[in-house]
Amino acid sequence: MILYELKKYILKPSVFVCLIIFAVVNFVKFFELYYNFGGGRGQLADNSAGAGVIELYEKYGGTITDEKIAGLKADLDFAEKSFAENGITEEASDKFYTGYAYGDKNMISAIIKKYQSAILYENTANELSQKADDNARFFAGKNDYEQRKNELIRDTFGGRYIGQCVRSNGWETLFDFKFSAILTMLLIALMLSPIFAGERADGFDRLIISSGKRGAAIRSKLLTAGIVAFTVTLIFFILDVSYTFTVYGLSCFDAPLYAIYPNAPLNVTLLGALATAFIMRLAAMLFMAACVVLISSFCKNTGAALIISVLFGAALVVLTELLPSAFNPLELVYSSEFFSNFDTVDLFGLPCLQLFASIGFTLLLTLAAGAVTAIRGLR
Amino acid sequence: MQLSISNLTKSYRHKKALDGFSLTLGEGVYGILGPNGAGKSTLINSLTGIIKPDSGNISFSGKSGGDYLSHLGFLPQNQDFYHNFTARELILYMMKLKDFKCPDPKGYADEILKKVNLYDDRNKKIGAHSGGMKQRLGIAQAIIGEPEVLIFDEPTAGLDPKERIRFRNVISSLANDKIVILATHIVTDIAFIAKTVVLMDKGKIIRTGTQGELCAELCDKVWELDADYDTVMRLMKESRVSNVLGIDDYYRVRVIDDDRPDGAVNVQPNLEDVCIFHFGEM
Repeated sequence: MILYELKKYILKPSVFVCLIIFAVVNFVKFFELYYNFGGGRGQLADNSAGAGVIELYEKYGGTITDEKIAGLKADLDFAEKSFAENGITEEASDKFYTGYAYGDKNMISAIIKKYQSAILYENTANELSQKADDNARFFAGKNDYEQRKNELIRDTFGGRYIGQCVRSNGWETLFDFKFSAILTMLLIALMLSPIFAGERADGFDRLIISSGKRGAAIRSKLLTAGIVAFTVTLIFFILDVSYTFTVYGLSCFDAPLYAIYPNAPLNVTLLGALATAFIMRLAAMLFMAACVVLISSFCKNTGAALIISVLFGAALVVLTELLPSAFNPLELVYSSEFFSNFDTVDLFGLPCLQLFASIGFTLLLTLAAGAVTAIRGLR
Repeated sequence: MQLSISNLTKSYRHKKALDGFSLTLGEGVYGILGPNGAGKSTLINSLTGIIKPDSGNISFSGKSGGDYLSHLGFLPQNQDFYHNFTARELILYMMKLKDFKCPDPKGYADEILKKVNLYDDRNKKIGAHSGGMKQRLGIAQAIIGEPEVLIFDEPTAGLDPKERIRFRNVISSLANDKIVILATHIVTDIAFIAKTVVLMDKGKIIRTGTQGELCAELCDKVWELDADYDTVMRLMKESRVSNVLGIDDYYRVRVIDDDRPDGAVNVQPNLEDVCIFHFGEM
């Protein structure tokens, strides 16, 4: 039944054309952002500065070792001495990674700062953990929630250690890139608007109802909606990762998330964070799909269902500014927001990371929308 | 095999679309005739589970068990199908929807399409089908699984005369051992194939019986005469006129009246006369 549901309104040439167009638009937007804000220092940089940054990270990125520290110091000394002697030069020189003493001075200093942050992070995290432990003792018997919250902070930050220097702009760009989420929502609205409304417009709802198999038909439609949401989300997520990989060169997949976001609420690797970001986006898109299907069940034609669905998506985007993060499903596409802050919500006296609360709330809303659709059906 | 409809009532705002409709049907073709707004579609929608009547009961006792809808094949009014499906794909989908299982689904689908003369077009997209082909496809999906009850709502609307005749022939060939209900306001459709005619208006049954029985009730009320234009106009105001045929410089008028118009001869009533008598204009 699901194959037929896909064939009815989704596996059509017009939908594939839209998918390709949206993928191209996503590509253009990503590279527009890169060229406007990326500083041209990615792997596509056609200047020596960009190539120099790549070379520096290949040499000094990854696991921090004493040899690398010594090498950085030596390279920085050379760059600073050259800059002091010659000042800012106009012609690039092979003696420098970036082609220029000034460029090397800045880039090496930036890497050294990352090294320092990584090395000092263990102390910072342990101090935070210790303070949280003290707070937990203070609140014991006085405020259960605050006690548990501080225990959570203590356990999360205790024992943290960064042993790698991670080139972060690729990861930050990836976790910050939201444009593809909007395109995904639009595609979901386009693909799923006819799922009920189209049946009504063609009069096929009468045949489905009179077959006595209305329940099975509705279940297959809901499953189809889930498959569509998953597939489109996955396609655009893979595209985002591939663009980022191409432009910035993602690396250090086994480095901890807190190497990029010091206050990260999760003790996962960057690869784990990537998977988490996908789950977050998927939850948001499943919610969107459930709502589009629900809207479709109320509409008599596909056009009305599509317009209302798009307006609903736009309202969600606007509400992102107004609603608390935990209560707006669309907030889940802003992975960096959740990764960079340790926020909790009070869940019946228990501290729950806002990330999980948001995912849970979104999935609940999704199930509720699905349940209403299942009950309302093709009426 | 018996389909019992007891005291069905359905109202929309202030209008009673069905008003205590009761009927018992056995095997054979039943034509439900009535003007627009008579309640035919409401009756059909109630019988097919599309709407829930306010009160009343529908029960079916057939040759095999299972709930009533599993014995039903239905072709709704103005039914369209998915344009990107082929005829065969649609039949296969409907088989899946109705949960009809057989050892060779594609072979079964082809057999169904042969019955409605669509086998040669089985791989053609429905978007390229003519109106008549779509109606035949509608019949094909209705007869999947050999349902014991077949319901067709305005099945020939929009068809040309040739397709209409083809449709009647297909229905006639399928009607053995089944209860077939045809709801329509096109009298000739019923006249050719229905065993029993149910006249319906304002949500109620007006009359029911065979065509012969209904016509016999009007045997002394149907007249034909040749008249000029002015006489025709007068008769149309004073009596019920069921047909006017222009012949050279005069008109042959068919009138339904208790009294014989001047110069008229008594003629054998037909089903159109019966409808004009009970409904006025159709």
